[in-house]
Amino acid sequence: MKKTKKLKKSIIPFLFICPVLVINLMFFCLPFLQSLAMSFFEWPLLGEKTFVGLLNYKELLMDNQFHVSLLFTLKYTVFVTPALFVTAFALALLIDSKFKGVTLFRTIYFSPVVISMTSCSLIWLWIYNDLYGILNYLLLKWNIIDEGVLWMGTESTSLPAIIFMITWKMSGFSMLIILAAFQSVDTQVYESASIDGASKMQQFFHITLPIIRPQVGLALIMSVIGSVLAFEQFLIMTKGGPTETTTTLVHYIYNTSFKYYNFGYGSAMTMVLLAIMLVLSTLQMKLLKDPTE
Amino acid sequence: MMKDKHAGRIAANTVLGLIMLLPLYWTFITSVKEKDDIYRQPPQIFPQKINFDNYREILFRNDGVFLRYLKNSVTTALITMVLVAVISLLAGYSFSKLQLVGKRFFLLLILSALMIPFQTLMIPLYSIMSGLHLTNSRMAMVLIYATFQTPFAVYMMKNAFDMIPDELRDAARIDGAGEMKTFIKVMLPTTWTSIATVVIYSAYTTWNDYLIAVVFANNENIKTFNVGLTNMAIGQYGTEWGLLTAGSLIGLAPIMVLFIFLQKYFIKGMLGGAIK
Repeated sequence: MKKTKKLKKSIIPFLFICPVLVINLMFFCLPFLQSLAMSFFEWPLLGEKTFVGLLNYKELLMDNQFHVSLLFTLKYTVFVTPALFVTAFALALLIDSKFKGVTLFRTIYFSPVVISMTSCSLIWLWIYNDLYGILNYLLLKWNIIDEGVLWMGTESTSLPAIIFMITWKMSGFSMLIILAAFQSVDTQVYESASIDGASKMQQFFHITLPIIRPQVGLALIMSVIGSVLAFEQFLIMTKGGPTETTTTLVHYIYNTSFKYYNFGYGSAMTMVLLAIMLVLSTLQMKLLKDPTE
Repeated sequence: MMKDKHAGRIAANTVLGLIMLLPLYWTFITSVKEKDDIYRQPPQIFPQKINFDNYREILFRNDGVFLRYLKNSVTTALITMVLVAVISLLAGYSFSKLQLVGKRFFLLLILSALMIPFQTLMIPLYSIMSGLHLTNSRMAMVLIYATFQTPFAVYMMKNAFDMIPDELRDAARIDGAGEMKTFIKVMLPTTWTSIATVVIYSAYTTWNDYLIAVVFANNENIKTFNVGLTNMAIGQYGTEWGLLTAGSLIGLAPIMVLFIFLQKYFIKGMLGGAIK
């Protein structure tokens, strides 16, 4: 009698987590394990799956497009991260004060973050249009260029153009993290520093920066993660071209798996992406508080 | 003195704020121009004639496919929001307030999904869904949205319940309320801001998604607005800028309106654990 009551007591809490547990096991744990296995198979959408050992990985080493995509994704990440960060830091400094309209400006700077990448890419593709785009019109009018630039025509112009767009779209996100960090510094620290004769500049470099370092790291890692996963902006704006030079890693995995249904090879590429993500996420988790506490 | 110090700051912010808004202004102006005016050189910065033909045309072209995509996006987002809210409420409550055996293990298991994005699991997920005969179904989309949204949502709800003192629950118990009644009468009303955060987080994540929808919903009956618009942009209508600008504004309008009124929840949901 007492035992059944005790059993019942421990079953109810378990029932409460059952829904999340079931979807987690079915659509997270199971695919995670399966993805490890799939990379060792020749795995078409229909038909026989054949074990091929390390063949997919060997192919990775030889596949020029994979190298191009991996390098391009890294290049994009290396350039977009500082662009985003410097802008975000400047915006945070600009609104880290109490003045009239500060909430309005914060809202404006953050608002592009909530727009979908699809809408965002279309908005900027129209701005960058070679014949009727407003950017070429203004640059020609101000004599900065002599003839209309085909912005999406080559990687050397499309990459900076897309980085500029992403800076517009995403800097509000990092801005808020950095702003929150600024505001978490105890004002008494500044007061005592002023008494000791430290200038505003000295206070910023010797007090503020060291204190907010973890949040700065977090903002950086989060933007790196977003950049490594870049896909839609390139799909819509350059279609990965010309000649696949702007095809990102996720874009190439997507094409391999869902255009050519070569799941085994796609999985081998995914393992590379997974390795990168795990390193980044581990860094991120170190900077966040322990979520289980 | 005080006023002078802020004057420079306000001026700089005003200039930057206007620059940030220019792309949206230009998109809107394009979307309300007549076809000939869109491609006129020099471009009209302030249009002479305004009409909403582009909005009408994109929504009602081809028997209103885009209207249907819009409805599909709304339906999918609503189902996902409700599912994620219910699942995370139950789990968050159990993790925080109930004597769950193996609490730390289960929590770690669920939160580990925060580290691995959908992009790295899309291939096996497709194969699993195809084994369940669920590819090209709304069910598959909703389940996958829920899988990748619930870790954060559960974390959020657990924290919310952690803030409630146990005495409050014990008091309800002494008054003779059962587990379910305590949950509904005591716990729900005190955590509604977190519930709102979870619901909004789920709404915009689902609404803005492209990749999950394009992999799992290519059927016309469930295709979402983002997928429809992207297909149009990279397909043969990729030069119809009146329609494309109107479409991108239709896509961003609902989320922008929500953001303007419910900013606090958006920020809490987006930055999550990043700021306290």
